[in-house]
Amino acid sequence: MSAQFKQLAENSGFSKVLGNEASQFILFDKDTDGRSGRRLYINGALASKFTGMSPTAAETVFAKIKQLKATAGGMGSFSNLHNAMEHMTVIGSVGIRYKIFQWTGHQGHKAGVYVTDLDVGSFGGDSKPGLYKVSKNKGLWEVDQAPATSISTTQAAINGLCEGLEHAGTTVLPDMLASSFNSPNLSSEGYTLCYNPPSLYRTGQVWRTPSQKKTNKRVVAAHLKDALIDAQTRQQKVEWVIHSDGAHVLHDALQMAASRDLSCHTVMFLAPMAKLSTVLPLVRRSNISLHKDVMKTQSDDWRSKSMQMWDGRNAERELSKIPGFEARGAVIRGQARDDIHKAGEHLISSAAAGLGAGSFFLSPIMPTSVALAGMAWGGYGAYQKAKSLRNMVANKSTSAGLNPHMHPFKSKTEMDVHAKRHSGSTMKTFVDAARAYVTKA
Amino acid sequence: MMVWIVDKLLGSDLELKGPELSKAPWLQLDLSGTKLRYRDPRHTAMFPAKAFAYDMDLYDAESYERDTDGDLVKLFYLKGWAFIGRNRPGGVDLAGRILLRDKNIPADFNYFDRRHFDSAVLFFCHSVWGRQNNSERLGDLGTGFFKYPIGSSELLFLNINNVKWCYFTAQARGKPPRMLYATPITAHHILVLDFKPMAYLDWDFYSPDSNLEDATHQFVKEFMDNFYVELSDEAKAQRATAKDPI
Repeated sequence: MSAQFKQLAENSGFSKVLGNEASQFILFDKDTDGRSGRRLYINGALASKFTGMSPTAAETVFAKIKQLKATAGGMGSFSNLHNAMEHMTVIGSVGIRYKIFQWTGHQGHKAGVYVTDLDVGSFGGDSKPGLYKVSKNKGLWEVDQAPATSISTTQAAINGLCEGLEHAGTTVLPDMLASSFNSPNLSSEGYTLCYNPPSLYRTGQVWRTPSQKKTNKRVVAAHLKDALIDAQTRQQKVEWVIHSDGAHVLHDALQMAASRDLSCHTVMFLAPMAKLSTVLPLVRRSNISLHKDVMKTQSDDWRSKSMQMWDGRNAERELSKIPGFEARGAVIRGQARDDIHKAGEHLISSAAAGLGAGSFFLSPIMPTSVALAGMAWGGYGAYQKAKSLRNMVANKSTSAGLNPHMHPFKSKTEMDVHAKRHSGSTMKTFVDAARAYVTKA
Repeated sequence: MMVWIVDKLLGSDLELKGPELSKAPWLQLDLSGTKLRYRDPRHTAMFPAKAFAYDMDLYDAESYERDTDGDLVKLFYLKGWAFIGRNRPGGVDLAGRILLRDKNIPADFNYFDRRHFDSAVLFFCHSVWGRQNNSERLGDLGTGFFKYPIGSSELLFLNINNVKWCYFTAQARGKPPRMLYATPITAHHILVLDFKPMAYLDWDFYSPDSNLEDATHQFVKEFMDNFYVELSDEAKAQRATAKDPI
């Protein structure tokens, strides 16, 4: 591949536009030199991103990238809010980031489209995104090895936070489905999992959400869109549970489905990580039914709540447009309003005590151990508060026994009982949650 | 040298650490007189721990779940343990289940009898993996991805702490094996321990990047070395009547 790029670079008589030798831009192909459409250049270092791709796949991607001669910066592309020249287009499983220069201010540098980065979709080891039938026999949930082509069950789910297909399919979602729809068929019929390759978080430190891994999300959404439309054409009723980041996937799938009628589907959001008010208009447009509760989130799950907090009024407005859900809208708005107050209280009380608790649960990044130590101090001071603090700390814990994000159905009391059983005692649960950061255990 | 120090400080994926069994508390369960005793490490996998083991009445059919095949199943223990080096490449889940046969029981039916036990285990495998494998009947492996026992000769009997355990694996090609240990605890009950080693996220179970395969297998072995079963007097009597006892 690199020899080919070298050749192209020589042909174009073009080098070193931006960056250093290693990252020089070269003409993408012989016919992208401006003879038709805009000139198209690519960062030579990006060749490595094609390694491992099959020649056919690579050729397809090449052809798609070439389209940028005409379509760069068009309606279908994402634009960078901070840089008007920078855009991104997603083609198949490849995200292409590029800058458009109308004028470079340097004689040797020609105007054109400069591909600065490629994001070739990558999926966890052996588990590809798509639909999987999950069935239960002899008390064992087992995910099918081969992906399914359509939804054959009355229940289906989109996973969010998890550590892989096995856990999502066999231990996390069956319980959520059972709690949401209470269907007697779940055990005998199984369900269909739309597997959304999870956010990567290595060493328990960084939560990378699918919204940051756009390419992966797009591919899952494309699968989901096909499945939604397929079930609709067969007039098959499907009940969906959408956990956590799965809401983003649904959002994209519905956007791709345009305004097709999907009235056979019913959805329930559990601890959604997308703002409800952005998903609901699409749900309404497609005639998708909502579960009577619309959404469930554990009351200390700030990971999800911080998404919904400032969105109560919008969510209420959207729900009021769906017949029968006016009252539910008011409830959800009320919850969001309470959450803002609570978040404020936590900020004030923690500021007064000189602690970092407030900023901790609102910020997406890791707390410092100083803030943790401070919280531990404050937490031990008030026993009742310790439980809430425990839950909040656990929001970023990899220990799912304690993380409220994994328990959207539990009330505060139930969560407390659960955590106690998990760790032995309330105090221990806090230490367990805190230890999850310090020792990665 | 440098690498050694960094590995010591940050951990190494080639020396993964699972839960320390020797430090884990003992869990003792009384199942209608039959006593189980095993190490119960803290749950560290990324799913909610939900089956909390407690003493129970083996004959209370209400507490079981009716399987589609008609038998009763009870999940009494479910935990997962992450294995951690510098990263978190995988771990082991353990599900403890009790199978109870309560209907259509022939007169001399006894799980302590090798013949009855074997057919129950083989039927169990057939129900769980047979469909995916397009298996047509018991004894036919079908054409799918899975490899699981279809005949008595594929069941291995091990003596662990004076208990005869039946050991077998079920595995899809290229995936980690599921390791199952089963033993009868009364004439109508079978205890099944189902260990599921797995790689998390985009890790590969067999990749030389980590010693996940070795570490998890070693853990399963140690876990079983610390597993004690003491049959109730009633169960002992039932075993005594078996023609070809396990």
